[in-house]
Amino acid sequence: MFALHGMNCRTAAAIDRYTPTVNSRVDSSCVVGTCLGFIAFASAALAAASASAGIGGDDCPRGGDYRATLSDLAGACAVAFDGADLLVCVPDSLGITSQLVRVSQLDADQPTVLELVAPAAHAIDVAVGSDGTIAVADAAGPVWVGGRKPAPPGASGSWVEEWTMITMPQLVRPAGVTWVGEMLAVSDAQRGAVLLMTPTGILIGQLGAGVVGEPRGLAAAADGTLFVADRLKDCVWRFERSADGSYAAEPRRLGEPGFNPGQLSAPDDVFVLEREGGTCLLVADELNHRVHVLDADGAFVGFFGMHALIPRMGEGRIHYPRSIAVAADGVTLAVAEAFEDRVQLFGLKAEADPVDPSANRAEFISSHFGSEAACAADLLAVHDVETEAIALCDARTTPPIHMAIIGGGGALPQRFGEVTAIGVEPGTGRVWVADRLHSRIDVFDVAWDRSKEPIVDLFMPRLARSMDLSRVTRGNDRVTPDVSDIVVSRSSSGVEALLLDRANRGIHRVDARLTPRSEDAWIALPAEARMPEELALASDGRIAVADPVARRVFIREVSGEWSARSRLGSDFVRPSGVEFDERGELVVSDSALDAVLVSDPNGARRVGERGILDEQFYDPQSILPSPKGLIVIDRGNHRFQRFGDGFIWNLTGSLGRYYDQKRKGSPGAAPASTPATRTGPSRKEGEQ
Amino acid sequence: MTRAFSIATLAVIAGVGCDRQPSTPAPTSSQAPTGEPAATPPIATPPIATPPIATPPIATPPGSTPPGAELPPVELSRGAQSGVSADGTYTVRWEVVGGAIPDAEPFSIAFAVTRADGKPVSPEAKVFVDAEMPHHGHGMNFVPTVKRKGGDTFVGEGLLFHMPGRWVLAIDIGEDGVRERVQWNVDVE
Repeated sequence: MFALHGMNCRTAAAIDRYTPTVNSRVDSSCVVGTCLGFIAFASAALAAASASAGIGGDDCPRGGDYRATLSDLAGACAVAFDGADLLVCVPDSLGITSQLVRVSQLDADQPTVLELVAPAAHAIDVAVGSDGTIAVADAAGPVWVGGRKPAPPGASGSWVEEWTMITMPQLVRPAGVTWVGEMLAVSDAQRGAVLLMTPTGILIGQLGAGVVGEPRGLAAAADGTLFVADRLKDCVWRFERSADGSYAAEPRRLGEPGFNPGQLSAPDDVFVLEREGGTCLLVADELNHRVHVLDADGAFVGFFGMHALIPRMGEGRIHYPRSIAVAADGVTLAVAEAFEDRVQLFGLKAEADPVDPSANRAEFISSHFGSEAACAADLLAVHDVETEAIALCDARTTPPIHMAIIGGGGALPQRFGEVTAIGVEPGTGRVWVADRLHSRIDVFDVAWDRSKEPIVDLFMPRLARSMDLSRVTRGNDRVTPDVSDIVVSRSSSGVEALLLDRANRGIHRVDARLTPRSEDAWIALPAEARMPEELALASDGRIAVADPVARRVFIREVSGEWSARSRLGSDFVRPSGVEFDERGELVVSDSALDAVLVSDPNGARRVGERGILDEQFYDPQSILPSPKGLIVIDRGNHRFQRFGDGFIWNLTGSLGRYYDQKRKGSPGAAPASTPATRTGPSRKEGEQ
Repeated sequence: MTRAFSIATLAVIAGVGCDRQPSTPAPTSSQAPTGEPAATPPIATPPIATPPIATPPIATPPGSTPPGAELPPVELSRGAQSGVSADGTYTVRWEVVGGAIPDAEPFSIAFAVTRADGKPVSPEAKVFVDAEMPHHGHGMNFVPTVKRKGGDTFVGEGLLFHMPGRWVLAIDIGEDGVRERVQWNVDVE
């Protein structure tokens, strides 16, 4: 039992309204067509939902009036109401002992933010029990249970926090937590199951193993029926509970993949809203950028929160919702958007929202780069998370010329379920793509005449082979790798690929057909590794691995010795990308610092700051080498930036819009007439 | 923006949407564990019933031959088109049954598969036929079926090119967890 005394108190830092200037355009007709087609479909669906409001006998909300925004909540990924207060998980907080904050006086101009001292390493979900006990799911492994209690006589402050850590071998990677009466239900993203346990850490049972893909947020109805959002399989699972307290063996699947009404794309959380007219499910439909409303049987009721079409857009427009919660009044809805470091507040209502006619303006259509990207020699491959497509560009040119697209969502080879890693084979330019949903790696031939100007040729990529990841073994053991990065190299002995395995925390060394190499076929990461995300291979054979949950970068020397770094000039908060520069020195992107940390002969250099101009970042992720410098995926700005020798900025680009000269206001450029970074009040009121 | 699915793709998803096996759990503990990760212990579940691991619906591999079946091979004409998979393992010759691709009507193709090493294609091999229009970002509205004939020949039925333009016809052969593709551009007037 921990007893942590005292607290920190601050008010939310301020953010002003401003007009984003990043506004890129996809030059892919099919992507644009999908967007515009969806908007037209959404209009019809919402009109139908509005027309049926109040007719179906249910009492589910169909819309939400925007009320306010709580900004500067670093990595806000989970919300739960505790009475009138709102608890928010902030895993990207610079102080790692303050992973959880309590926001009070939500109606005030300056809500109060208290840092709780839940000692989680990476708080990813929070739930409040009927007696006020708080449970926090920690992506690093445990679940924390506790909260505030009156301080004992003589202690400083009027109350203390007491937390109990629950850890057990069966609990691998918690991703969600909720209370079912006095029992805890914890979703485990890696195990693909829900664990049921007492608040004292006694395991009662598990649900969904073998059926559920990647369970995330979950919620229980009053009768104990459990609803679990499955991000990988694009659905919500319903586990029935009988009167004797046991759960049905087979869950019911609610929802299906897609973007139409009743369809989900990477649902991250679900909230059960029980009203006289029936039970309603509110789903954080992340890649559809909306709150989806279903009835308890999964039938479509409505959705709201029009997609924020450019980064930082808000005030009712939702961008990558991760978590939702409704207050005890049954009306106030909080939506956590980790991508935007914010929580938006809505007032639920029976009527559907009208579709904003500005939504189909083509200039809003932008690329949605994920963290996955790769480059070798002259080919750059960048993943778009929302279409599950990979853009192929000629990396020799400034800007890189977009030539072709691989994939898009789907089940067949050359279509992807969830891309988790990309590698490019030097010499041949073959592109390796790891698909987590289908547990396979597809390899594509990409051939073009390099002596000519690159042109768009959608027939260029050809599937060479599609390989089941079950071919990857560890000794005589079968493993199911969860490949989070791929580095492909060629030598006299042929093609060799390093597969970073997030689930088993190590690296597989395989040949072109995923057969383990005879030597060093399995390289285990240090024991402190938690969720390794990116891999880099130096020309001298050193390996670097970025682990944003462990907040470490692991370095493997040629001798095989591992070391761990927790800082490079600055302390790591969320190291997400890693690469070696042209001198073989380490470069690390930190998505919470909004900066890239660069080894320097004099120590280390911090490049970048939060912003939307050049040499500014918002959630920087993957780093990859290219012929004209290191490319950093600037995910929160839907773009990438390129840095030449000495890590000097030389390009900002997305698909269709590029800058090779710094704009005014950028670091090192002429000052702008208007502020480029954010200042001002923290709570933005909506028009009501 | 959103994921784009063709109707054919959705049909396939409907069949396999729940078939993914869970990742092999890796061990962890918030208390710094040491050494090589150990296997995650199983969980005893009373009093809550543990759902059995779902057995995914297993379709009969399109390319498999029923045991004991002796089927005559499909005869291909000298005009059949030929192609080699990117890794060089398979050579495929194919032609349209009936001579020409009809306008927005179902049709079948016949094809023969030859391995570079001269071995026969495994009876367990999975063989698929598909087509899409890269310029338009869609495939067919139907999922073709493949029937195995004698002598490593096959018939793909139920193809339908519903609009004119350039299509990519793909034949995939999968053995031992590796699927290779042979493909052709097909222009439909």
